[in-house]
Amino acid sequence: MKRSLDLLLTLGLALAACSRGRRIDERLLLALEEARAWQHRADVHLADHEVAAAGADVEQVLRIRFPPGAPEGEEARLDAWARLAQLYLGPSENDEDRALAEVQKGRAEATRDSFYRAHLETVAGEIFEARARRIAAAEAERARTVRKEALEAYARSIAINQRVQAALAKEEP
Amino acid sequence: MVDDETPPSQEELANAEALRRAIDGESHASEDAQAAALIFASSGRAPRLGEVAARRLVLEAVAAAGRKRRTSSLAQWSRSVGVALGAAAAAVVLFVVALPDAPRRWMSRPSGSTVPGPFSPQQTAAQRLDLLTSDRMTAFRESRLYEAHR
Repeated sequence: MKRSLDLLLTLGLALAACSRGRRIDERLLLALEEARAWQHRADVHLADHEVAAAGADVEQVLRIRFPPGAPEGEEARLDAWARLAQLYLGPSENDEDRALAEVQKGRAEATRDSFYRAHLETVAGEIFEARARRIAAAEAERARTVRKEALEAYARSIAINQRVQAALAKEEP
Repeated sequence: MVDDETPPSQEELANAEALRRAIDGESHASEDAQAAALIFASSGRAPRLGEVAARRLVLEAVAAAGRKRRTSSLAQWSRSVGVALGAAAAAVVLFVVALPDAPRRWMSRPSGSTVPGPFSPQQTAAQRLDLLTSDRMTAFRESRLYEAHR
């Protein structure tokens, strides 16, 4: 019995050690640096109102091969999905659907709670808000339903942020 | 009627010898042992421990001691394994918790403390990556510097 407990403890701690992840290396830095450059390019294109070019830049972030399991890689990708959703959000129903689809792709990739995962839900809330505004005059009842979806998305974002902050507060002395 | 003058037959002699052996504890035949026990009980004295019986007792005691020693060494081995696992667990705890903060900063990890959220609408994805890349670059340089001076 005692031996089993010892073994379980050892395995648990070994897993905890693994959860610390790998050392920061050149590969991670190169990937982050490339992602950073693509996002800055998107900023520059947006300054000239070139939304399509900015979208193409952000899509490049999703083609970067981050080291497997690197949390920074997942976060950079989630941020890219969120930004694509914002860039694709336009004045039509189709634009909103496309934007929501990008959010959904990000959600599907997320493996853990993070501020980036919460940000995705915030962007989802913004998309629903935009849709509710667009249809408010013509479809009042549907607009009310869409506003409810926006509220739910914001609530998810708040809950994730609170969990991440609570986890960080435990980590820090 | 039994004639006392008649010399004992071979069978009677054999039975007497068997009874003597049982009384001396040298025989394990159940009938002999029962007869011996009855004789001892009627005479009111405990059976005498024969040489063979004593040897059997010694052998049994030695065997029991051997079994006990084997059981004891198994328990000792279990304890050793337990101690080794405990030591390994302690080493992992040291690695995970008790080591200074610096090595942890050199690890790839979530950026919650580097780029704290919730993100403001004014902060762009590029700015977040600026913060993150800069932090990880610094940590990487520190780790390389540490290794170079080791």
